Amino acid sequence: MSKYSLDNLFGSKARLKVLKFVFRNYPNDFSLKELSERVQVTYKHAKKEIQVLESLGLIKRK
Amino acid sequence: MAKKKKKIRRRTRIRPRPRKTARKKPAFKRRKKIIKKTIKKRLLKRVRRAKRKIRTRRPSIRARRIKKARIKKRARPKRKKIARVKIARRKPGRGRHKKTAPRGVKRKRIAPSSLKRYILNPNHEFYSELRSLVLKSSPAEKERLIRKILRLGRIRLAVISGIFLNSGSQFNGDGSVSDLFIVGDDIDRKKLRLFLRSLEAEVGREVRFAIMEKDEFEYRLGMFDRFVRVLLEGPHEKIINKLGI
Repeated sequence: MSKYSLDNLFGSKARLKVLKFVFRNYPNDFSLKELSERVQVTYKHAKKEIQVLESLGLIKRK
Repeated sequence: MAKKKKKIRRRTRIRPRPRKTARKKPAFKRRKKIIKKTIKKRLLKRVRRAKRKIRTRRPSIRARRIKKARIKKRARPKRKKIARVKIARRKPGRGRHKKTAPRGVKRKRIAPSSLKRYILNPNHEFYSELRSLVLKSSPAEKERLIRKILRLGRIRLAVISGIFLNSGSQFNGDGSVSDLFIVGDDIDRKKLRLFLRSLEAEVGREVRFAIMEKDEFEYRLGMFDRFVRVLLEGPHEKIINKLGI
């Protein structure tokens, strides 16, 4: 649906969901498993997105 | 007069005759029977095959080799326990394979993934810009929400506050009582559960949710109930309003 422009801009719904999750839960840390459960994304995709964001520097490994 | 009688007889013949033979079974029942039969057949075949296997099983060449190796190994004097490691045959980088070490080197234990925790880096150059971008609730999003809520049942009122309003993502700084409040009748519980799950996944955070029926809501409104009052006095937005409040 092109109405939902942000997920097209970011490339995938999963990425947008992950970003929202990360920003909303800011002071709390999370593991990949938690992320995939809460955001309803497969573990595989969650891991990929996290790797991308880590390479950008948005996410640090605690 | 005789002619008239003949005419009557002809009319009765044209009408359809009552069935003398039994009715045909409907096609579905026949199909069911056939399906049952075939299933039975297959099961019996499988059982027979399994039996056959147990009786006349010859170890394959590979199995024989492995057996030999095991016997040899047992015959050798026992060494210290070293982690057995498969030598990678595929080229590195192709497909998924465990990182291997040459034989004789102990392999580290891989920690479970829940020990690696990630956290947002607030010192990123685009942190604030991305934040305002990602957390902004566009009207298109609200439309989608409205459509989803309307599908749940006969919804009279839907009020959002807290997380859904623009800057309300920092804890409960808003002071709002609930993020999503729905008043409606005949709400399907299953659909509701699914809706909430997908909503939480999209929002990324737990959604404080309240639901009640129209009568209860009107009663509470009349009684100046604290919850309803605080909700409607604080910052909020009525995305569905069929009660005319």
